[in-house]
Amino acid sequence: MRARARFALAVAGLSAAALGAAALATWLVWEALDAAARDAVAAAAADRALALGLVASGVVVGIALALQAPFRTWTAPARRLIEEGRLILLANPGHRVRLGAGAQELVDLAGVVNELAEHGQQALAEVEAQIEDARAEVAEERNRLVALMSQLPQAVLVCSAEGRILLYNGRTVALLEGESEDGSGGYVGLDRSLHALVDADALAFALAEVQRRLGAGEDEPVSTFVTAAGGGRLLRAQLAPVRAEEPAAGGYVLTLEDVTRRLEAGNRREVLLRSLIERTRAAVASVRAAVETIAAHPDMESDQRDAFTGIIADEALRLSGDLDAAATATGAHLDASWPLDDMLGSDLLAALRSRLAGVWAVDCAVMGPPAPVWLRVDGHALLAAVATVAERVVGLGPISAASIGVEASGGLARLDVSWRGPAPEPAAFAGWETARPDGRIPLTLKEVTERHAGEVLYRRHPQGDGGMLRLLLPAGEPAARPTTPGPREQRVAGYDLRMLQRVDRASDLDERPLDQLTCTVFDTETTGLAPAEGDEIIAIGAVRIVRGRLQRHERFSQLVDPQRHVSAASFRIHGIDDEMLAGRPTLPEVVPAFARFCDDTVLVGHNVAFDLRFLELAEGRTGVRFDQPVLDTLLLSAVIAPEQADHSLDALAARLGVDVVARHTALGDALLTAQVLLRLLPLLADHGITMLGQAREAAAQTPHATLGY
Amino acid sequence: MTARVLLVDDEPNILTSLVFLMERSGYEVQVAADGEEALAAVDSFRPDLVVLDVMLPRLSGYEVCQRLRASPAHRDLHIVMLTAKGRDVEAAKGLEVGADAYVTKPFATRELVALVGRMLEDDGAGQG
Repeated sequence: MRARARFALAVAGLSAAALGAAALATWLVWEALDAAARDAVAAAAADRALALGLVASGVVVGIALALQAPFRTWTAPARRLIEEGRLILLANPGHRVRLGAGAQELVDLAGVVNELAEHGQQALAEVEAQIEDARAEVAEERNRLVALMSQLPQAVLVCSAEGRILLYNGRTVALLEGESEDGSGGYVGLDRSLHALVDADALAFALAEVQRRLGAGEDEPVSTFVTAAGGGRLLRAQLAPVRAEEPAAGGYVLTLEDVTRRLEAGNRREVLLRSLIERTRAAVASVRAAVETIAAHPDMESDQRDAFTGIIADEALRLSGDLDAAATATGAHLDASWPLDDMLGSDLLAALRSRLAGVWAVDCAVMGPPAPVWLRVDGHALLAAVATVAERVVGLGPISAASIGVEASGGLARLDVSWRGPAPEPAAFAGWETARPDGRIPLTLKEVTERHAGEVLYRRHPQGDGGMLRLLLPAGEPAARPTTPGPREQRVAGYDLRMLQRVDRASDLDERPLDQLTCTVFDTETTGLAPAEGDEIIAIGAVRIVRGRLQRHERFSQLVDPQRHVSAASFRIHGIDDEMLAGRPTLPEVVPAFARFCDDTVLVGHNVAFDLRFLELAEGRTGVRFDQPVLDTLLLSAVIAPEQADHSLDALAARLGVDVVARHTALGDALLTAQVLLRLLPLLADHGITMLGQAREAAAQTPHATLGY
Repeated sequence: MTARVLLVDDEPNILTSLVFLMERSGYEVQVAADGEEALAAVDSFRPDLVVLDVMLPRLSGYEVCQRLRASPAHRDLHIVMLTAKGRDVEAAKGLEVGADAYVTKPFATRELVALVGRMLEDDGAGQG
């Protein structure tokens, strides 16, 4: 029961008792009087009615005044003691009760509570230290996994049976989100829907296919589909099921691969080939027709014959041109189906040198190259093939000296291996070119050069005391150096595999437990406090809590050009001036992106009515209406600590033991609010509030809830 | 003195035209249909210029060229490779093994004749 109500009740009760006693005394006397005396008393009472009334009121007021002191010294502080004690118990073991005013006994009691809290905290600290050790090991394991995943060149994704993302790595983000910063291709993040990121139909078909194969008893059912993704890329996705104990749970593992280039190259080659075939058909047809006509009519006029030979010459010339064009085109688009990599000549030479040292027992001199030369090679296959030949050479006799070098020559690169020692006849060497080495992928020198679209030359020194092997290989391009990862690449990986093991029971959001909610916690910085009078948003920051866990890396942070001046007063608070905002996207550009970020989540903020008012007033400009369920940490704090006067974010953070790192930046405040929310949850549960609907109802009943902007 | 030209190709159809052209230009002409035959013909016929295809049975044009260049007697021999192998790498290899010119099929007959003429003319001073 509220304190005021209690007080009023106490006053009323005591007053009633006092006045009742007086009434009883009067009645007792009244009974003892006879009729005449009663009349006299009644008359006297009527005379003094006003005075009597004043006395009665005086009694009530006196009681109220008298009761105020005990209430102030006992009841109110006692209630505060209870609240703060609960706070220590449930949310912040480091908090200490401070009772300013109150009975000495209560102040002493507060002291005792603090001591108990101190003891409790120490004991807790010891236990936690032990738990921490155990956790540290698990955390290290997790970090290793995350680090490993983030470095995978493949894009990996795990999703629940409903298509909610449970695991992803940086490459997945790069492939699915593309270059867009505003989430126009969809966002990758935990608990986000995969269906929004890839071709929903293709995904559905692949899922059905996997289910069908599972049903048919296949051991490793895998399904493949191609989808368009952010930035116009084409991705090839492979899908395999992940089974869980609960039949309806489980999920899927996907790997994604960017096949845009490969598909484009393949398409180009097909188009080229087809057009070449068609043009050749046409040319040959004309030629054959002309030739057959000449052959069938040897008696035709000479000028007629000239016409036909002219046709033959013409078509032959045109066909020659087509062939040249086709040869150039295929050369340019040569994307060998055998995987080749761009490699620096000096790196290849270093590897070759150590390989030959093993085979020839000789340290090769390395010649150049003077300038960096890039080759397009399968380094391993090339080295293996050269080593095989080298083995045969040394089989004929020892090598006394050797040198290797790389040079650029036209659009090609030359790799030379020269040696002093036995050298076979060219005919014998030709046999070696087709000799098969040992190993997992045994390729002859001939096959390797063919796969590289290159050529091999062998020369024997005239005196027969040495030889040279020369490989002509395609030149490569400098491999793209990775740039410093931008902020998006730092969302390297995330996983939360709980949903693999169970199914979401509550379909109605209001029945969802608070600690299982997915929310977007956000904050705005503005030009001032009056949205209805022209103040504008200048920054939006947000973080995600996914199923009760704060995902620091899934964030939204954007400065907004308000297209008006930032007042000096508000600049003093958030430190953002007009210069910092010039050139930033405007609200109609940012709000839709923000809406995509917080799609399908509960919105949370501190004094969120303020921020929402700005967004509401801008609906016409942005075209976005926010109709998600909303939670306000200020109201929630009032629910669990109605006696506290200060529910500001700073005070909440202090009370709940949250470190304040960056205040008055939108993202910093959003992060702070998120942590405050998470610490409020156990306190709410103590008040019997465990579900979203209950929290919203309780919040709506606090006095602060009626404040409008 | 009439210049002597050896034509090496395993496709009779192209040989027919080449023989006709070379003889029309006033050269003495012989043909060979594979690599080994070509080497034998160089020894016996002693041509001034060889038109050499690359894709030959028994011995490739590259190898024929390499062997010819390896022998000092044939240092001055003009070798023109004439082949359907048209990639850059293949032309580079042809020149590496010692061909003086590398012509890709299909080709303009007029230009081939002119090329041969130019090469043999340069000898003219030595041959009188």
